[in-house]
Amino acid sequence: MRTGALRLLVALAATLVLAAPAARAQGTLSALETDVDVILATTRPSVVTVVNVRDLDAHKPGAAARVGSGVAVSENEILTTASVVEGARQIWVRTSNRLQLRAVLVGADPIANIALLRIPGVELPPLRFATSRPVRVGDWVIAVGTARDVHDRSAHSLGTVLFRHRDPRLPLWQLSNAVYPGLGGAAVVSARGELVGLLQGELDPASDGAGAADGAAANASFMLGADDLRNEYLQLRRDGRVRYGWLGVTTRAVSVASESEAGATVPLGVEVLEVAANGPAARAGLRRRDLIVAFEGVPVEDPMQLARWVTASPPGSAVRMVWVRDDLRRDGRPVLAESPAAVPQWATSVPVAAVVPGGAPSGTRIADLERRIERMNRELQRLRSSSADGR
Amino acid sequence: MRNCSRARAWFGAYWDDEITQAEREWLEAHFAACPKCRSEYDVLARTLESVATLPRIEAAPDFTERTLARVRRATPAADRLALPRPAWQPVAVAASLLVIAGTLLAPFAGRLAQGPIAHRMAPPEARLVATPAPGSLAAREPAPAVAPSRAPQSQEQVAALVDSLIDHGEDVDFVLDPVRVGHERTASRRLEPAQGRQAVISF
Repeated sequence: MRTGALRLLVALAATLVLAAPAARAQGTLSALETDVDVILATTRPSVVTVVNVRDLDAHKPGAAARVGSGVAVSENEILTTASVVEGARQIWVRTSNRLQLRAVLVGADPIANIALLRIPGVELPPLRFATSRPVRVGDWVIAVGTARDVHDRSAHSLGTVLFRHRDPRLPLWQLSNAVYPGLGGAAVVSARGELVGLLQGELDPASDGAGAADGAAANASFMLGADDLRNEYLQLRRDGRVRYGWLGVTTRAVSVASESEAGATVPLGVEVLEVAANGPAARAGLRRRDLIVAFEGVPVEDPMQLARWVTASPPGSAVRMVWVRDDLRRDGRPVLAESPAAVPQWATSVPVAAVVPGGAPSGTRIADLERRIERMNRELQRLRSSSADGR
Repeated sequence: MRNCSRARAWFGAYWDDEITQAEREWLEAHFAACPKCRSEYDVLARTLESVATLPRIEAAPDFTERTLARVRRATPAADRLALPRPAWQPVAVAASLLVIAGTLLAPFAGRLAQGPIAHRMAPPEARLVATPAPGSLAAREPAPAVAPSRAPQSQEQVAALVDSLIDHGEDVDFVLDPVRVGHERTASRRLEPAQGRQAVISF
């Protein structure tokens, strides 16, 4: 009896070992295809198209309306990017089964580029935030959303997580997924079908940074990870806004010409032009003409970057900063105050050069001159071509 | 009447010339006496003759072999590596074990199907739970000072407009933000035009 059972077990084990390769006969690629299909089928109903109706009489591109993607995170709440709903007079949402619904903007955070919409009287199938297993470099992810150049406007793209950028606040993850216009605000889902992030955009072609050097420039897309996304969602849902940190400085960029690369500049840091009286910076000992070089251990390259990190830090938090004065390194931990503006002025549109004591900084003047030279060049070219036609 | 049905039963055999001399004589005698059976037999004979004139399709000589080869090709290809095939004995044992396990687990199968697998099969879709009052929504947003000419009048018109914006809008911007990457592996949305790096900002 005992040997019989033993034989049976041995036979069973042998069968399992031998049968395992046969089960894989479907082929890895077609198995992957099947998996992607299953994930898409479950994700698609949670992904919506967001239509931002601005001015229907406008005939300039983007002036009439903006179209992007969004994802349901609860029965009647949708996350998208702030730039999708920017300047909206009305917001409409179209679901995958073609329901068209009017949405209300709960709140938007232009710093993190996240907006929360609410649709009364609807039941959407929400996607779960990936909390059980955080996203890691090398993970396969699928971006699901709306795109202009795709049949039926319904696009998805498969890729992997390449790396996380070093920003101390709101770091973006770089993905290898190919992206198209309209995928702003698209859901990025893991192989488990969980929401691992919200698609932000693609690599700026004018970017002079390390993007190209990483060999990822061809298909570089970016997402805000699930942790930051969830934090944004909770704040926007609770308060309708996000509370921003404030340092109390006015700054400009400082850079030197590169010695190894002709024409290129190497950023040195951010020069303080003005310190708000009794503000967090003043209390931490920052003065005019100090050069801020690091924030939370990460080198600072330009004012927009530092402003983004400071603004995305919660009010009341102490931040580690390093600056240079008279060739000497100094550091401190200013305790940030709360930004008086609901949306910081620098994040709303083209920053207007502030009135600075001692005249406008040379940088603005150079940029201004460059623009005028470019305009004159274009005018000259136009004149030349028109005189050639006249002959 | 009984004679007619008996005669009709022999029509086929008569055509094929497979009946006895006595039967043939009886049938021909019946035809002489019954014009109805006679004409019926004529119809049958004409039909069979015209079918016989149709061209016959001959199967190619290698038809059987080719068909079998196709059937073999249609079965799934194995992995590229030649793997040892399992001997029949353990397979039989495993099959019988599976049957036993299946019988034992059958009562629980229904419960499993209602779980995540059923969820996969038919993902839930968005649905309306209540028709939102159009007035309440419109009231929240300030009405435009001057009614734009293209502005739709009713909710239905707006819905149709949304469709046309998505599907044919030339003056519609499909959003995908440019992200600027720094030297030190930092990245953020580009918020300003090219000269922005030199701009003076307060924060």
